[in-house]
Amino acid sequence: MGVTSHRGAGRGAVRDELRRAVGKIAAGSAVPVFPMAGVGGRDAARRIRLSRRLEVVSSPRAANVLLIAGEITPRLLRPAIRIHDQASPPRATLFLIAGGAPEPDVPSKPEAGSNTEVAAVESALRTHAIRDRFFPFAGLVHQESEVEAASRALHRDLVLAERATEPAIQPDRPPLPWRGRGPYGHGGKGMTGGAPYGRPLPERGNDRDGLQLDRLPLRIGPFFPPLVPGLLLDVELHGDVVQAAELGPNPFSGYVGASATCPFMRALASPVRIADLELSRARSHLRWLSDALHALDLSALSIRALALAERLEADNVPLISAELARFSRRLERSRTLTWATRGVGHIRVDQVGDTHGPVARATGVEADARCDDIEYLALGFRPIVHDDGDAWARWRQRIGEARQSLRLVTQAGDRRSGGAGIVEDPRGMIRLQTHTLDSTSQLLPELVTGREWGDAVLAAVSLDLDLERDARLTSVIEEGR
Amino acid sequence: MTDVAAGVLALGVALFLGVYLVSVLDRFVSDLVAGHGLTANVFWAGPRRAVLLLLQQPSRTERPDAEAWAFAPALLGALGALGLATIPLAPELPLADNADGIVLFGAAMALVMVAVFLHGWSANSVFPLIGAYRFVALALSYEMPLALVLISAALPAESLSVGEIIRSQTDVWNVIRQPLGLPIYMVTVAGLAFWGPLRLPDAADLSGGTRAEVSGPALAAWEVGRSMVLVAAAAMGAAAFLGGWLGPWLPGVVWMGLKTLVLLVLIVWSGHHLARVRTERFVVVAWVVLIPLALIDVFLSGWLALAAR
Repeated sequence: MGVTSHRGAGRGAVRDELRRAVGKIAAGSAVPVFPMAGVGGRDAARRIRLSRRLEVVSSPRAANVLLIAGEITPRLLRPAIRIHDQASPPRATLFLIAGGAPEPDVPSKPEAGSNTEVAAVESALRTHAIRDRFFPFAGLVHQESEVEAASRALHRDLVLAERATEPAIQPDRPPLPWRGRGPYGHGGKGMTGGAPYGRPLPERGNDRDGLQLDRLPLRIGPFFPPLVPGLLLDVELHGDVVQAAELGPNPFSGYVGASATCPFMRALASPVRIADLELSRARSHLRWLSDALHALDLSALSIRALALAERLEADNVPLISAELARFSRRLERSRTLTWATRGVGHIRVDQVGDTHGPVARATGVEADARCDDIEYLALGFRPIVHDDGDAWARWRQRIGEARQSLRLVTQAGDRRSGGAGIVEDPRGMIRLQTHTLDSTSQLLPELVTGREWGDAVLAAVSLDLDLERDARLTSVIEEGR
Repeated sequence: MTDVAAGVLALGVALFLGVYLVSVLDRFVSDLVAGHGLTANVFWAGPRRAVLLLLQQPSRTERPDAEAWAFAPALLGALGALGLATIPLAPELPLADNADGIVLFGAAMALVMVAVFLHGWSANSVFPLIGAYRFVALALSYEMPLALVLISAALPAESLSVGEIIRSQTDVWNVIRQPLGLPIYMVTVAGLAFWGPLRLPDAADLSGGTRAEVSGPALAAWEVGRSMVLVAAAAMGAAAFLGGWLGPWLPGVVWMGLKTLVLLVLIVWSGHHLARVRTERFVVVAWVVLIPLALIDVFLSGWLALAAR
C-alpha cells in the first residue's frame, strides 16, 4: 500500500515536471489574442498586430487572451460576455482602461477640470465597474505600452497552470427547453416539426433567383473582426447571399464627447497647422489600408501598412512617402487585388446623397471642404477624384489621398487652416452650422443587400466607417444646438 | 514486410519534414513581407504553436456532429499522406509506385472536398457552413484543370505510374515540354490546399470559416492536415513537371526535396502577396480560361508524344 502510493506520488511528480516542460515550450509561442475595441480603444486594439509576441486571431475560439481596449458601453457588454465565454479554456481577459493612445503629433492638454477630462474619468470609472462586476479575474493595464508584457504574463501563467482559467460569466445552458424532435430538431410533422430551444425552424422566402429557400436571421457585430468595432448589422442570409440588412443602433451613442486630441475637431473651432491635419489624414488612411488588407487575409502586408502609419511623424515624411510610393505601386499592380475589389460595393452618383469624403470622391463627386480654403488653394490643392464608385476606386482613392497628404505636409510649412466651423476630416466634411451629418454608414444596408457574404464584407470594409466618429459628431452637433 | 515498414517510415519522415518546412517558410515569408527583422524564431514558432494548441481545450458548439468534426482533420491529413505515398521520392524509394499512381493521387485530392465540407458542416454554426459550401462551389473548378494537366504529364510517359512519368523526363522536363502545365497546376494547388488567393473556406471575412469554431488539438490537426495536402501537391508538381529525382551530382532524394521546396516557396509566397479572390470570379476564370488552356495542354502534349514515337 505504502509502496504503491509512493510510486504514485513519484509518477505524479514526473507528470507535473513534464507538464511544466511542455508548458514552457508553449509559453514561448506568440500569444493568441482576440481584441475587442470599445470607446477610444480602436487604435490600441489594432496596434497589437505590430507586436511579434502577440498573434491576432480571427475567432475567439482560438484565443488565450481577450483584450478589451477602451470603454465597454451597455450595448457592447453582452456581446463581450458572449465572446468571453466562447473562448476556449485556458483563457484570460486583459482590460486596457485609459482609452487608446492620443494622436502622437498632438499633445493632449485638456485644461484641468475641463469637460473632456471629467468625461474621461467617468468613462474609466464605468469600465472599472464593469470589470469588477463581470470580469473579476481579468488583468488590467492603464498604458497601451503595457499590453504586450501583460498579455504575455497572462499567457505564460495560463499555460504553466499557475493561473486558473477564467470561468464562464453566463451559465452554459439553453435559454429555453429543448423542444426539437430527433437529434437535430428536424423531426416531427412535415419539415417544420419541433422548436429546438424555442427557436422555430427557418422561414422560407424567395432568394434573388426566385427560389424558395430558408432565411437565416443573423446579428453581426459589434466585434466581428473584418468589420469596424461597434458596427451592428442584422442580416438575413439565403445561403451566403445577404437577402436583407439593417443597421443596428450605434453602441457608442451617448458615450463619446468632443475630443481635444483630434486635430480635426480642434480645427472646427480654431486654426490648426495644415501639416498636423494632413499627417493625421495620412495616418487614418494608412490605418484603413491595414484593416482592409487584414480582411483580405494579407496579414503580413497589413502589418507593413500599419507600421507606415504608426511610424509617420513630421520629421520622416520624405522617407515614409518613398516607402508608401513603392507599396502603393505594388498594390495597384496586383491582379488579385483588383479581382477581389473591382465592381464590389458599387455606389451610383445618385446614392451618394449626404455622403462626403473619399467615398463620395471615389464616386466622381468633387466635394472637399479643402477646396474652399484659401490656405489649401495657395498650396495648389486639387482633390483626387475617381469615377468608378466601386471598392477598388475607394482603395485607390485613399491610397492616393494619403500620398497627396504627405506632399501637402512637406509644402505646408506653418500655414494654418480652420476655425470657420467646417473641416474635411479623413472620412468627410464636418460642418457645424448646417448640422449635416455624414451618412456613410446609412449606405451600408443598400450596398450589401443581394450580395454574397464575401463581397458584402469587402464593400463594408471599403467604406472606412467609424462609429465612434459618428457618435462624436452627433454629440458635438447636439451641444451646438 | 521490411520494405513496407521502411516505406511507411520514409513517408512519415517526409511528411514530418514537409509540414515543418511549410511552417518555417510561412513564418519566414510573413516576417519578410511584414518588414520584421528575421530571427531564429521562424524555426521555433510553428512547433511552439502546435504545443500551445495541444494544451488548449477543444471547443463545444450546440449539437455539433461530433464524429464528423473529429474525422475531418484526420481525413485531410490521411489524404495528404495518401497523395504523397503515390510519389516515388527517389528511384530506390518507391512508396506505392503502382501502375496508376497518378489516378490514385487525383482521387485522393478530389476527396479533400469531403474533408473540408465535413469540417465546416459538423460545427453546426453559420460561418463554418458558409465556408464549407464555398469550397464545394470552388472544387470542380480547380479539380478539372488539375486532372487535365496531370493527364498531360502522363502522356509522354505512356504510363499512369508516377515513377514512369519521372523517367520519361530524362531528356527534357515536362515544364519545358508542356509550358502550360506547371502554371495551371500551381493555381489548382492553391485551390486544393485552400492557400493564398484561394483561401476561401477558411477566409478572414468568415472569421476563419470552417475553422471559426475550432480550437485546441483539433485546430492543430487541421493545420497540419492542410500542410500535408500542400506538401503532397508540391511533391507531385516536382515529380510531374520538374523531373522529380532527376538531376546531376546530388542523390535523387535531395533533388526531389529541392524541387518540392521551390514549389512550396512559390505557394507560400503567394499566400502573403496575393489577395483572396472572389469565389465567383475564380469559377468564371477557371471555366473560361484555365480549363480550355488545360485542354489545349492535353491536345498539344498528346500530339507531341505521338510525333516523338
